[in-house]
Amino acid sequence: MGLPLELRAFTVMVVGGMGSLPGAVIGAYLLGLGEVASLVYLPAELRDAFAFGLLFLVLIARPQGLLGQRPADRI
Amino acid sequence: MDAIADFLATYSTTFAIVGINALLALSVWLTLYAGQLTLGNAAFMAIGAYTSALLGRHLGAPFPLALAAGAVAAAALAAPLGLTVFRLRGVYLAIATLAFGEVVRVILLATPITGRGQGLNGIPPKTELWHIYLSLAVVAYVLWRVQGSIAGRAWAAIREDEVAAASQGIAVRRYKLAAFVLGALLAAWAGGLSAHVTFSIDPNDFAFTKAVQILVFAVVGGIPNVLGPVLGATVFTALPELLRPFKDYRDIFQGAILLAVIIYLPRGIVTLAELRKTRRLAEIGAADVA
Repeated sequence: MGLPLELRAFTVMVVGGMGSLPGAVIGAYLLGLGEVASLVYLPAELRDAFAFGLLFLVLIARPQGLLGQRPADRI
Repeated sequence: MDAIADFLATYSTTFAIVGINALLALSVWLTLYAGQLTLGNAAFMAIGAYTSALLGRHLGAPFPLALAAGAVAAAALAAPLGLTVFRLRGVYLAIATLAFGEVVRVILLATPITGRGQGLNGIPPKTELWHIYLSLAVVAYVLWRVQGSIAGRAWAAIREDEVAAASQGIAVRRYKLAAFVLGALLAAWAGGLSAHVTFSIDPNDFAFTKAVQILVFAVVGGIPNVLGPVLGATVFTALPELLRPFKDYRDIFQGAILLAVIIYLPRGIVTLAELRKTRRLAEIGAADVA
């Protein structure tokens, strides 16, 4: 059911912040709890939309992830 | 003559799909030419397919109008999306557009009017072969001409070095956005055409695998000129038909050919002609100059 595992793990990594171990843990909880919450309160078909919606929002609002370090602009 | 007519009749669907895939490959070529990796074109294709099919079914819209409406709908969505996602670069841009594509797919799966998981069936087969190939010829010609224009050179400059391009006074974000919106328009047009070839569409036709497939057509064909994506789409659409004698090993052959092209022709199939020249130059130690 739902997304393949790799895509979920990938979402967690990007949401938490690449290279950040605590970020990955927080991202995993956020995705897991959020997905189940969306199953409870929203139509079941929208389950996968939650993961990608979260991914999309994080990338737009905070591209480096929740705990990631912002890379310096290379010129 | 009969043999030719038979051949055309037997393979007309394959020819149609080759042309549509070529259009899709050109849609992703636009952003690739500007150096931007986006994976949202399957979603724009879906928007074009669903919009044109629904308009035809519920409002009885004439076919060209329905196609155009689908293309405009995708472009209207691509503009605000592009404004936000082009704050990202490289692989993050690819991930964000991929996420957008998956959200579109899930929404299609959950909406009653798009038929949810069953999709839409019984779409009238209004697409003629000449519709597809006329579109392809026009688009390929326009894009070929665009390469030498101000916009084409701006895209090339952005691809080579964004900071340098900006310092030359090129409106980097505006040109990126233009490539993205035009690509969406084109993908949706191709989607509308394809929906009226295949009779039925469902959300999984436009999933991640489709996005990657479109990218493979363009990259394997070659980005240096517009011929590349057309060639890539032709080869990789016709290949399963050509490999029919190998039956069960078809996927293996196809994968092997894909790998061989990537390893030996990293700039695409269109560079095959240049290969010998480059090798000669490499022998005399002048490859860098070329």
